[in-house]
Amino acid sequence: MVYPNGTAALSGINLKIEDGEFVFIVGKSGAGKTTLTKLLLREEKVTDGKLRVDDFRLEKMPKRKIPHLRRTMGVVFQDFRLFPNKTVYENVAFAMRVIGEKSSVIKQRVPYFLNLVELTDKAGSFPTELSGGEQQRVAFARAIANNPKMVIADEPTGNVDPEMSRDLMDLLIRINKLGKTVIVITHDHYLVEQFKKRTVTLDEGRIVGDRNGGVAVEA
Amino acid sequence: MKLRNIPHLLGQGFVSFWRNGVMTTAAILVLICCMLVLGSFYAVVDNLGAFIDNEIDSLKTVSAYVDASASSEDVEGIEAQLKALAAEEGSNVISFEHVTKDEVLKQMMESSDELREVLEKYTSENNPLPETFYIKFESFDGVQTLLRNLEGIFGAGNIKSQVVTYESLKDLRSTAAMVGLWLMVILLIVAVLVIMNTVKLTVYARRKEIAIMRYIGATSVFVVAPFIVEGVLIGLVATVISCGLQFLLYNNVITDLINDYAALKINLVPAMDYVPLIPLAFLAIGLFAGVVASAISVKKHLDV
Repeated sequence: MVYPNGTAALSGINLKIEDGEFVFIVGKSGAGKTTLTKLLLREEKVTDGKLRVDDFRLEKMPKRKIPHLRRTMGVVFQDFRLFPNKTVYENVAFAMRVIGEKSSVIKQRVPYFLNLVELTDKAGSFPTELSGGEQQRVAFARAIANNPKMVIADEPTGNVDPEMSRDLMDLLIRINKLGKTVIVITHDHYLVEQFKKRTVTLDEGRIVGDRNGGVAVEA
Repeated sequence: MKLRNIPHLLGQGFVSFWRNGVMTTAAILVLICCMLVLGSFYAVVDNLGAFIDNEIDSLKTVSAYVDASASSEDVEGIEAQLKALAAEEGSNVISFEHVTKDEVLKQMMESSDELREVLEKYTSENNPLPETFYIKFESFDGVQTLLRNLEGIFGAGNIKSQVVTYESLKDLRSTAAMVGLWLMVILLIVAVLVIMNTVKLTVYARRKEIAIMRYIGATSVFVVAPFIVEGVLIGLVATVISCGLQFLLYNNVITDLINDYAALKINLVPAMDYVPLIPLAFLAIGLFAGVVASAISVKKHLDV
């Protein structure tokens, strides 16, 4: 992947993540983690090579199909990216509206997800009225509201206390156990060591390590 | 997009309209200002045109003077010829009025104090003014034929028309109309650009929101639709407020300004004569600016 200014953000990448896997993507700042997320979301297009997510071939996918690709995944962004002028309930409901879910289903499922992230009592609050951790939990609820095949979490523990961090990771593991693919992008080595999951290490745009639960499988 | 999303998208337009209060208010205020400038300018130009038209109407009278040597039988003969001319189809004559020498003298003395002083020494016996016929005609189009016919009745040199004044006013009218039209077009373009820029700014302020919608998987239609609903609402609210303010402005400020500063007494066009033209024009500008600007501006931020 080469940016228009000539910077090669990712090169020589050969990575396959199976359905239902739990993978940590780790690396220093500038290693290519963000670019990888952008490629998966088709925010950027691969300049060379192939990239496949579910049934979508991203290197030749037309723009009009981007919304359909993004509906297959739930993303928790590091900066949460919540709608500032929508309430917690509306933020979660919006993801379901996008896929044309019935209002009756939305009314039934949004409280369920808010309960799951322990934010039932904040349903009517706006994001600016929430703490960082609460905002992140809203982002989690929104990410899983559509029952996506894959959940991508970008630095999910960066803005929460250790206890909440543990709870969020437990939530991701539960999601993974439901058969969903989970990709966690982080630079928190403690987190990676704690959970013993497949870990792909990026450095200067290349994969420099790929360990499966602590066992190196490919480098 | 699924049909069941339509009520939601409409509702989102209304919700955003309220929740983005500051930017919405800014857009509405800019729209109102532009509409009022346009509406007021149109009203002034239209009143100027109406004034010139009224002046032209008042010029549609020919004064024909009876020769001083004519006897009362000659005058009766002239009157009979005028009646016959007025009865002719296509004669362009609407009516005529016969004014005796004494009445002419009286009318002139009443018309101004200066003339009264000059004419005071004259009586019925020494009145130098001629017996006069005022002939009202329909249109300046056939006025030359009418003047020739009247010269045949009264003799050359006894006819006074306002054709020269009419030609000058006609030129002034077409120049004013042309200048007014161009200024309106320029003003309209400037107004639409200002409004579109304001709407663009309101959308720009929400570009992150648009990006989030796209990250979640919203289609272009799903993102754009609430903004268009919002644009329609902004256009409608601005139109309603502008119509009310324009009515007040016209009936008070513009009327006072024209009456206070115009050298001539002008009978203003009634405000209700601009209904439905101005409200419809405001609505068209409001909706065009609100909807088109929203759609164009949102589209720019869709590519994420």
